[in-house]
Parts: sequence; C-alpha cells; structure tokens
Amino acid sequence: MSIDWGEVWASAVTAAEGAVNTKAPQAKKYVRKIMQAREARLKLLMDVWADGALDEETLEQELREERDILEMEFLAVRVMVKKAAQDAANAALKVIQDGLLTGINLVA
Amino acid sequence: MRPLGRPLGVWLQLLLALSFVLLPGCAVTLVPEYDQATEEKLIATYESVNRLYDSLAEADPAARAYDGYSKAWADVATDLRVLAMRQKARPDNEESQKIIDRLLANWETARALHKKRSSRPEHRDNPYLDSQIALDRAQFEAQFSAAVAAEVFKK
Repeated sequence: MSIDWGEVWASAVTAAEGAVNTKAPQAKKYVRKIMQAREARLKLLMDVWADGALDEETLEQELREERDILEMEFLAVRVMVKKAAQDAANAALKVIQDGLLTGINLVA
Repeated sequence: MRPLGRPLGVWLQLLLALSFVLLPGCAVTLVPEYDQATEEKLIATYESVNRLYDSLAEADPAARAYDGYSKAWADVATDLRVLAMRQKARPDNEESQKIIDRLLANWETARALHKKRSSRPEHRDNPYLDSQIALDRAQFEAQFSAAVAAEVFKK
C-alpha cells in the first residue's frame, strides 16, 4: 500500500497545530491569572506604602521580590510553551513516521 | 538524462523522509518528563513553610526570636537544596532549576533577615512583624506555585 507524501505532510501540519491549540488556552489562562495576582499585590503594596506602614527601603525590597516572582512565573510559562512546541514537533514526526511505515508514494 | 530515473526533488523528499526514521530516537525533547516526586516534594516543602509562618503568626510578638524557629528554617532550606539538586540532575530542565535556585536564595534572605532582626535589641520585642509575616508568606506561596506549575506543565 502507498500513500501520498503531500497528504502525509498536510496531516503532519494538522497534528502539530492540534498540539499547539490544546496548550494555547491553558497558557493564556495561566498568564492572565498571574498578571491579576501581581496587579492585586502591587496595589496592596502601594496602599500599605501610602499608609506609611512601609519605609522606602522595605518597599524597594518588596518590589524587587515582586519582579523576582513575576520572572519565576514566566519561567513556568516558558516550560508550557516549550512543552507545546515539543508536543507539536512529535505529533508531526509521528504522522510522518507512520506514513513512512505505511509506504509513501513519492512519485511526483 | 536522469541517472536515477526520478526528479531530484523527489529524491530530496525521500532523503528528508528517511532522515526522520533513521535519526536516533527521533522524538524532539525540549523539556524533561514530568516528575511526580518533584511535585510532591514541592508541596510537602510548602506545607513546612506554611507551618512555620502559622506558628510565627500565632506566637506572641516577643516570642518570635529566630532561635525558636531555626530548625524550621533549616529544614526547609535542606528540602529546597535537595530539590535543587534533583532539578540539576534532569536534562533540559533549565527553567525549573532557575525557579528552585531563586526560591532557595529568597528563603535564605528571609531567614537571614529574621536572624538579624532577632539579634538587634531594638527589635527584640517583635523580630518578625505581622505585616512582614503576611507579605513573606504570600510571596513564598507565589514562588512555590510557580515551581509547581513549571513541573505540572511538563505533563
């Protein structure tokens, strides 16, 4: 049995897109959640500072920590993006490998 | 005359197709496999952090000196170091390594600050302010959440 290379390639692209589409809403939701959390947190810090409960040095330290947390959260986002890319590449490769095992018709 | 009887483009496609099969392993790896032990250890360590902040918050302000809590600080630091070592042993795990390294560094900073304030006579009546407990606790919660998320996203 032989199958058409063009069809295999199109299926590989669809498989890769499917893998990315599965992860995209999850990534968007997570980014929104962390940004909302940081916004609430920064607002709280500003309120506390305005009330005089924090001195400038402590505020600066807290802001440094907030930046640190945001960076850590985006490192987690990077894992998600890399995993999506990995899943997409492997989904495409699997379609191609399956096609090769079946026998691709390479006649142009 | 075509020596092999097929257009060159077809042979290139064939070569490309075969390379997918012949390349060792073939699967693309950008992140390591999900590690359940890492996730469980992170959650267990976060429990210890929460317990420490609970007991600090519950204690009378004058009884919050570092010495009474040094074991709890050290236990969490040890757990984080073990976690950091585990992450370094996993290939393609740069993000989790960085997160745990920063978590450990921030933990040691908070620990040093508690120790420093406890040693100063002007702070002995309250070496760890309620507001600081609340801030630090929330920040560590966010940091542990990021570390857990980075692991869960590998599933």
